[in-house]
Amino acid sequence: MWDRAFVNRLRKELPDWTEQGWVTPAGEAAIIGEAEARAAQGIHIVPIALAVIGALTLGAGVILFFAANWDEMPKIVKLIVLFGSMWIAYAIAGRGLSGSARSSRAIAHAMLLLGIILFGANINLIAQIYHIDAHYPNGVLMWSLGALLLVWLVPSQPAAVAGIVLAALWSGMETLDFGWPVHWPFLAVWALFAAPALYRGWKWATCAALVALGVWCFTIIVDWPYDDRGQSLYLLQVFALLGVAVHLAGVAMQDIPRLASLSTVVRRTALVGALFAAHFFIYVGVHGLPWYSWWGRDFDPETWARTAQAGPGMIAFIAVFALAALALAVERYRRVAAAHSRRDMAGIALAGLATAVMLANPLMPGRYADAVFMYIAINGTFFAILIWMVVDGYRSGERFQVYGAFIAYGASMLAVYFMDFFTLMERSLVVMGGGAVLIAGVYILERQRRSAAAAETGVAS
Amino acid sequence: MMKKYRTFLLILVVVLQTAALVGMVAIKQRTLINGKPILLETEPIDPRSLFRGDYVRLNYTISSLDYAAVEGDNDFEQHEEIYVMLREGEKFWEAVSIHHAMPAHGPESVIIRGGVDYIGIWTGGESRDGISVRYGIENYFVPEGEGMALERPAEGEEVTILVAVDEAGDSAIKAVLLNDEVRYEEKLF
Repeated sequence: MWDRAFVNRLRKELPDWTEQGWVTPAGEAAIIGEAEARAAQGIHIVPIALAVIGALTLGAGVILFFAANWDEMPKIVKLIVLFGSMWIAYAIAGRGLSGSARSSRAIAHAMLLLGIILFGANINLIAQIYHIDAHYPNGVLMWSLGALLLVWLVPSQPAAVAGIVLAALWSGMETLDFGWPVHWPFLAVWALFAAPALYRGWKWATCAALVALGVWCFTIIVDWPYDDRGQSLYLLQVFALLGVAVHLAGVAMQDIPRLASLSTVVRRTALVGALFAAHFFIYVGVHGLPWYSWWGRDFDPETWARTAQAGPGMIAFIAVFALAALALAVERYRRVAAAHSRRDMAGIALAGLATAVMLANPLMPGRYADAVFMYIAINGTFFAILIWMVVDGYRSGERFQVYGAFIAYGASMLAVYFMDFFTLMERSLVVMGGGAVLIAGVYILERQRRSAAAAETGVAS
Repeated sequence: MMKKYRTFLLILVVVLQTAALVGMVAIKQRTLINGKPILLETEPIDPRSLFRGDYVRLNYTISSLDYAAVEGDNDFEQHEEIYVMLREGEKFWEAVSIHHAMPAHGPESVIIRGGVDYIGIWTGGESRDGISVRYGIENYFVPEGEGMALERPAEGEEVTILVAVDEAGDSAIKAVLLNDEVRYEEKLF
C-alpha cells in the first residue's frame, strides 16, 4: 500500500527532476522500474489487516453466540467449544506457516496470537466451569508460559509480545496483591522471553521486554514497605543506573552484527526508562527531606536525620550498575572517536561525575546539610547530563535523544514549579534559570549549525 | 523437511497447552474423588454479576480464626501459608488448631490448607486478634439469576457447603446444599 504511494509520488516528481537535469531519462525509467518491482514484492497490508480484523470479529461473534447460550449448554459441549476454537486457530496458523508467501505467514502469526488469546480465555472459563479458585496470578503465569511455548517452538514474535505483557501482569499481581517485596521469579520468566527476542532480532518483543522490566522496577518502588520508604531513593538510583547501563549496552550492540538491528530499540527504550527513573530525583520527598509546609512546626535542621540508610546489598547494587554504566560510557567513546572531541570528553567527564555522585550518596551521613547537598549534586548532575544529551543528540542527528532530554527537562522544571519545599522566590529563580539555559542553549546550537552550514557551502563552492 | 518439523512443533505446543488445561480439571477432580467430604457452615454470602451467570462469594465460619479460640501457632503474617486442623462438631466441621506446617493428625480430623488473607478480624462488633484465611473455595459460579436465591435464602432456609479435602490439604467444593438438600453438585461432565 505505502510502496504504491511512494511509486506514485516518484512518478509525479521525477519528470521535474529530469527536466532540471538532476536525473537522466534512463535513470528516471530505472528508478520507476525498481520502485515498481519493490512495490509488487511488498506485503499488501490492507488485505491482511482486513482479513485479521474479519477473523477476530467473526471469532468475537461466535464467542458472544455461545455466551448467550452458555448456561443451557452441557459441560461437555462447553469444553468442545473451548478446546475446538483454540485448535482451529492453531490449525489455520499451521496452514499459514507452511505457505511461503509473506502474507500467509502474517496471517499465521495473527492466528497464533488468537490461539494464545483463546488459551487464556480457556484458562479462565475452565476455572469458572469447574469452580477452580486458586491463587489467581498462577492463571496469568500459566497463560504467559503458554505463549512461551510458542516463542521457543514455533517461533512467533506476536506471541512473545503477548507473553511478556502477561509475565509483567503476573509479577505485578504477585507484588501488589500478594506482598512480594521484590518478585525475583519474574526475572527468570523474563529472561526466557528476552533471550529468543534478542537472538532472533525481534524489535517489538525486545521493546516489550525492556518495558516489562521497567514496569517490574516501578512496581517494586510503588509497593516498597511503607515503614521503609527511605530506601526509595537508593532503589531509584539502582533503576536509573540500570537504564543507563542498558542504554549504553544498546550503543555497544551497534558493533555486534547479530544484535546491530536491535541497537536503536534498546538504546531508545532504555533511555526512556533511565530518564523516567532519574526524573524522580527532583522530588524532595524521595530524598527523605521534609516538605516545605512542615517548616516552623516540628522541623529542626540541627536534629533532623535521614530515616533510611542504604544497606550493604543496596550499595553493592548501586556500585555494580554505576561502574557498569561508566565502563560502557568509556568504551563507547574509546570506539567512536579516536581523536576525542570536546563533546566526547565532556560526556566521559559527566559519566564519571554521575558515577561518583551515585556512589557517594548512600555513603553520606544522614544529616540535613548532607541530604540537601546530595539533592543538589544529584539533580545538578542530571541537568548537566540533559544539556549534554541535547548537544550530543543535536550534533549526531539523534532526534530521539534530543526530544527525550527536552521532555525530561520540562517535566523537572514543572515539578520544581509546584514544589512546596522551595520558597516562591527560590522556585522563580530555578524556573527562570532553567528557561534562560534553554534559550542560551538553543541560540548556541543554532549559531553553530549556521556556521557549519556556511563552511560546507564554502567548501562546495 | 523444515515445514514438517515446524508443523510438528506447533502440534506439540497445542498438545502441551491442551494438557495444561486438562491438568487443571484433573487436579480438581482428584481432590473431589479422593478427598474426605466435610460439611462447612457459611455466613452471609454475596453474589456478583459477571459477564456470564453469577458467582456467589462464600464466607465460611472457618474463614475468620480468632487466636483465642484455636490452638497452635499465633504468629502468622499476611499471605503466609496456613494449615488448619478441623474436627467434626455437632453438624459442621470446626477449626481446632492452626499451624505453619502440616501437623500430624488422626483419622478424626482433617487438615485444610489456605493462605492468610488479612491479619486481625472483626467479630461481634469488635476487633479481635486473629486472621482471615482463604482456602480457594470462596467462589462458586451459578447460572445467571440464581445467585440472589443463595444470597438471600427465605426465612428458615440454610445454605451449607460440602467440601472435599485431600491428604495434601487441598480442597474443592463438592456440593452446595439448601436445607441439607443438594442444590448444585460438582460433576466432571
